[in-house]
Amino acid sequence: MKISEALGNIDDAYLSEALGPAPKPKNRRSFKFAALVACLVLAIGSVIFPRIVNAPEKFTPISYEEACEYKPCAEIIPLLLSDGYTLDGEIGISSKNVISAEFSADDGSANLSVTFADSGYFGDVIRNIIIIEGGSCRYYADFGDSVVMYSLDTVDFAELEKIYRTFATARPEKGAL
Amino acid sequence: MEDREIIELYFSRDESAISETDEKYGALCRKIIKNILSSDRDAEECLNDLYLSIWNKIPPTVPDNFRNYICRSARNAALSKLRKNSALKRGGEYEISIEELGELSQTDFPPYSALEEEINAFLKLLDPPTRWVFVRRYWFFDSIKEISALSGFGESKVKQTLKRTREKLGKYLIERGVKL
Repeated sequence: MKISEALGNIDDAYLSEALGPAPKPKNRRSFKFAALVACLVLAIGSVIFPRIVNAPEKFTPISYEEACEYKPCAEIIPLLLSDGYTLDGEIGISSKNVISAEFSADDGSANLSVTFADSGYFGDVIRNIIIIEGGSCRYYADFGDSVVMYSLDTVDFAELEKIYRTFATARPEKGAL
Repeated sequence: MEDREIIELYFSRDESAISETDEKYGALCRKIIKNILSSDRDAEECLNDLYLSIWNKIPPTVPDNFRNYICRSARNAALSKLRKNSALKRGGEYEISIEELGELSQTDFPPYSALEEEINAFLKLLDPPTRWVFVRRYWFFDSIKEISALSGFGESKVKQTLKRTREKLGKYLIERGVKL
């Protein structure tokens, strides 16, 4: 059997989905880059080493739809996908309901790791501020009951702006830096 | 006309079933067939064969989803005609998209439905926009340009998405013991 034949027998659900309307990229909101730079200057000025209190966990793969049953995954993942990122590999969930997903920028300029967890999972790490360590950076976005950790393998202002945008779009009331 | 009503026409052996089918889904079927077959003549013949085949199959077949059923039938009819003619549409989207699959397209997988199950399981893991792009390319054989226009993604994003998804599919199948 050739793979082209096997592809011909995909589930009706995926066929219906493909016959339906095309997914449209969400409108991008414009943000003042100066605010982000100011935030970065503050962050660089402070030597901050976040403490992650939880030991590494084993993650079980889940589907995109299953992940989207958890907030704020349902808000953040589609925003990242529409904003120039592609999901790499599988989305994973741990026994503590921590959800992890890896993304890469479509132009290959950066890899992004995103972790969704309950508010207490990351301990007393400072939220809503960009933390730069060496050639990488992290951002702990406060969603009230939960925290989303963005970990970028580069310090790229354009990528940082994208990440900040997803957070500000998902939680506009928390958007002010 | 609703799909259910068209199916009722087939069941009552009313020949207007074919014209109603053509009116509602003719353009969609032509697009699928034209992406696979080389000539307009072949495509038109194939479409006529398709309508005859559907006329002969309904009844007794009662499709759950008539649109999907007719799309599958159109794809199968065109691929069957393509094999029969042994005449690939040079530079056509079918040929190009199959070539893109590279090593995957050359591999003869065992003739068991597990591969189909693995592919469906793989598709389930994809996010909807990626899955939409992948299915439009490798099921409907739409061109990159068409997918880009339909989705609003840039052509480079579509190409990048397809490339990554092909790589993921290859890796996924290897992890599940499928030898490439």
